[in-house]
Parts: sequence; C-alpha cells; structure tokens
Amino acid sequence: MAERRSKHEIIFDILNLISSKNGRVKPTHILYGGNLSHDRLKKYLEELINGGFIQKQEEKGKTYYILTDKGYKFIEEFKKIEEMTQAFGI
Amino acid sequence: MVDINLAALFTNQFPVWFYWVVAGIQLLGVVVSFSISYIGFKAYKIIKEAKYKYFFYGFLLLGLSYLANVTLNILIRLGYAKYFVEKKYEIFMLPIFGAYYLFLIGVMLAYVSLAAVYSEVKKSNKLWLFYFWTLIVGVYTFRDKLMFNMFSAILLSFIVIYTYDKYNEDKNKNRLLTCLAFFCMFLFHLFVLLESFMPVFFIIRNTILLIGLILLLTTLSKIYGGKKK
Repeated sequence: MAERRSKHEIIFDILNLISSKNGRVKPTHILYGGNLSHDRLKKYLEELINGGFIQKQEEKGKTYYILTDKGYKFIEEFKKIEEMTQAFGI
Repeated sequence: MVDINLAALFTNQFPVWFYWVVAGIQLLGVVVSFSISYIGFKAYKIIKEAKYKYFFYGFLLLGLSYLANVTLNILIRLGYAKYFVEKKYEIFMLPIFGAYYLFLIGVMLAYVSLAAVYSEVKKSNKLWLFYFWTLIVGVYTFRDKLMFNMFSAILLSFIVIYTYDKYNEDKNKNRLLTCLAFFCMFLFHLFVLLESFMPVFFIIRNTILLIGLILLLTTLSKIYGGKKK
C-alpha cells in the first residue's frame, strides 16, 4: 500500500505538475494529475494562491493557474531537500 | 590554572607542512559541515519536522567545532599560542582553552544530534539528558584526548549502524556514501588508540578523515547538481 503523502509532498506534486505544463494549467489537469479529491484540491489551491506560489488567471471564460517565481523556487528547494533526505537517509 | 601539558601541542613529530595540510582538511570540514547544515536549515524552515532541526544542529555544531579547531591549529603553527604560554598571562590563554573546549564539546554534541536524527531518541523528551551528559563528559575530556575520541567513536558507531540500515533499505548509492563518510569519521576517532603506539597513525587518521569529507562533498555535489542516485 502506498505511503500517504505529507502536506508538503502534495504541494510539491501540484507545483511540479504545473511546472511540467510550462507553468500554466487548467484546474482539471491538476485534479487528474494531482490525485486529489475536488474539495481537497480546492483547499490546496487556495493555500497556494495565498502563499504566492501560484496565481489564478481568467482568460476567455476559462480559468488557469500560473506558477509564480516563488513557486518555481519552492520546487527547486524541495527537490534539494528530497535529495538530501534520500542521501542521508533521514 | 589548569595543569595541561601545552608543550605537547607545540612539538612537531612530523614536518611542519603536514600540520598545514591538517589545517586544510579541517577547513574542508568547516565548508562541508556548514553547507550541509544550510540545507538542513532550509529543510526545517519549510517542513518543520524535528529530524531536520537536529540534522541542522548536528552539522552546524560540527562546522563550528572544525572552525574552532582550525583556528587553534593555525594560531599554534603561526606561533601566537606559544607567545601566550611564554607570557604566562592566564587571561590570554582563555581564548585558546575556549577554542579547544568549543571543539571538544561541539563535536560530541554534534554527534549526539546526528544520532538523535536516526534513532528513536528524538521522539523522547529525554533527549536533553543526552546533551547534558555529553556536555559533562566534554568538560572532562579536556585533560584526556583518548576519552574524547573514544566517546566520539561510540556515538559515531551508532550513526554508522543507522546509516548502514538505511542503505540496506533501498541500496541507494548516496546513502552508501553517507554511511562510508561517517565510518571514516568513526575510524578517525578510533585510531587515536593506535596513534600512541605508532605516531604514523596521525597521518593515517587525517587521511581517512579527508576521505570521509570528500565522500560528504560528493553527496553534496549530487544534491546541488540535482543528480539522481
């Protein structure tokens, strides 16, 4: 059985998913790719917007989420932390 | 006044240039330890888990200890410490003793922190007891180099076992490097036993320490370079 993801792992997964789509993505892509329920996803997206990691953009009646510089930076730092955690076995 | 035989610190059994090489190794220890502690600090800042806090403390203390040791080493080799001893002004000897104490106690507290990262002790509210007794032992190791090194070797032996178990979990090469690095540090402290019989073990110990630091540096470069296992 897969281990439950921590909050930070979920945040990283969401941000990484947006990054993989050139930093701009529709909510449905995050919903399918993030492996989260709609309610939980909504909660995380609000938190990420409030934290300045992503921005919400409306274009021709469609909603997009865009990764900010802070979001990109978080991805890089979290990757390093993950590498360190793996390397040192902590 | 502490009746320490400081003359032993100033006698050179090996060519003077070798002690500068040792200072270089200690300086590498400063750089590596502070670099690792910085990542630990960033991890704790984001993730707020206790294991990252103790990891940060461990390598920070190790870096500060190496810094104190290399400063002391350079002062001695440049002749400034001898000036203080010859003058017999106790107040001037305080910085030397202070630096040496910082090195001794800092190293042992660093190893306790790192052992706490890997063991279940971190979950206990009794961790402060380990720090306290380590501090007590550290105060008394000033007179006994062997006691300091043996206590450090004991702490490191636990870290080596824990990191080896972690390596066995998924055979991650970086974890093997980490385990070997700590094993080198363990041998560095353990070989003090042999140094009293064969002075050449001073060279061997420091060479092993250099290897350990290079292994940690290799792991760091993989982290910063973003290379996978």
